Amino acid sequence: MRNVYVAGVGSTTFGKHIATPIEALAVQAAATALIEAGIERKEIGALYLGNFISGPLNGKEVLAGIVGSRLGLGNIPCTKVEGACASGGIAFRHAWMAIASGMCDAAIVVGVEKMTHASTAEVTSALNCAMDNENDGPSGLTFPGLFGLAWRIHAQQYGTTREEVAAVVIKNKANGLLNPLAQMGAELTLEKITASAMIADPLQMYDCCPASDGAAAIVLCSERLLARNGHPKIKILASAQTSGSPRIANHPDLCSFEATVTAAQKAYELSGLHPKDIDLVELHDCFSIAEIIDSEDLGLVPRGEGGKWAAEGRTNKGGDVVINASGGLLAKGHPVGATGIGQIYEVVQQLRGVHPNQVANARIGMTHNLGGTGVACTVNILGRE
Amino acid sequence: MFKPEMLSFHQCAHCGTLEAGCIDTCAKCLHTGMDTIEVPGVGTLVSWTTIRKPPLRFKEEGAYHVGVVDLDNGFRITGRFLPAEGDQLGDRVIAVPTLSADHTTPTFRVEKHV
Repeated sequence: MRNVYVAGVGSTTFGKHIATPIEALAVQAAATALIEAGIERKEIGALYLGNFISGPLNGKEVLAGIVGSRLGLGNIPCTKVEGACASGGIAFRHAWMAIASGMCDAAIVVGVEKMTHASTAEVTSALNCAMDNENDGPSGLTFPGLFGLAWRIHAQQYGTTREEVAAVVIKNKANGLLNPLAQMGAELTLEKITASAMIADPLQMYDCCPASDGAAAIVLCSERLLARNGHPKIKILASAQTSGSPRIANHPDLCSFEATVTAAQKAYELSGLHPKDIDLVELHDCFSIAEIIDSEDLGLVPRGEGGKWAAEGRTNKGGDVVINASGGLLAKGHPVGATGIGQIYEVVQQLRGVHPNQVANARIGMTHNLGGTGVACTVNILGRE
Repeated sequence: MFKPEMLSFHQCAHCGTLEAGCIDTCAKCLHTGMDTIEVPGVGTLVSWTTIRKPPLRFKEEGAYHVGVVDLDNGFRITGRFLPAEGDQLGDRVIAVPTLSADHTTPTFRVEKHV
């Protein structure tokens, strides 16, 4: 396997882009990344596009080909990748593989979603396409519901409290205020969170990420094309993808996702690094309780202590491991197919030392992107050389 | 004593593995002959929640409760749940006649003495 580097990044803001077509969002982010990379377009050998629900919500498919054409990339293979909320992360890994394997010297990965024009019920229905609709779907379960189920068990098994879970929300919303790309940063209090509407008990409105429009893009390259664009050298130290059960029946512990545990193990193994080496992580906090579960599954926090660590500020800037300095999905937003690539965008800016909510001395960053009921997961580790 | 509803499963005719839903190939041995068996809807409550923002398919029902149950046959199943004051995770539950508009899902409630 060859070394793979980040050549350029681009992102739209995450939020409402009602008047912009989905492909235009993708092209905006991708064009920014291409210009920043300073790599000639004829060097780009492949495009991968992460997207989940452009069919049901936008009535548009073959997005990869449309975006490749709009970017003037010629006849190169353009592939749309779908893995529910992990679509972006999986697309990124395929671009990484294309270069690591020697198939090409540069590749672009774009993630995009457009959701805010649809009603909550329409978005919930579209997202529910990622559920096992032969077994779990007929009960009326939703994704907020899945994490409501998980929270009750976490509370019983480990004593996790409403206050501890709220600490995640308060931290991520505050971080979001410092990120100009974020959709809904806010200064929140426990009182405000507990007064918000119940969504899937005990999950309340502020515990849930918003529906979002947005796109993010990364240009990856081999050593040969590494740009002389003045940016520090950011190397992909590990890119791991795993699968887990698509159905509740095969999850023995609803407070842990096997796909995350195994993807993290693989990423640590590939990079030769350990959890204590990770300076910051952008992880999949689709719901507040998800951040607690993910932090434990990634081995960054001892099992059962995710809530306590959040409440004690150990996952804030200046803490043991900085989680979601971008605001995470809770505050930055969750344009589903763009999320995994947006996470890498955030880590790259941190490793370059130019993030608006900069983590001091950030050298090693991790991203974690989880799809469906834990059916697909990617974990990446990036390092500044 | 309440008599629980019976629940349908598939059982691989070759290796005996249990499967639920529309499945005709055994994931364990890839055999394509699945028998249908009925088991009593009795088990233990794993967790439950109240869905207050339903998808389009269930929108007219308003809020409803969903539970996960470990049946005594070892199968974990998602269904509707009818909560009552004082219910605890780990309580014994039984399947009762379904209240859901979608009759493919079972409905459970706590029944401590089964």
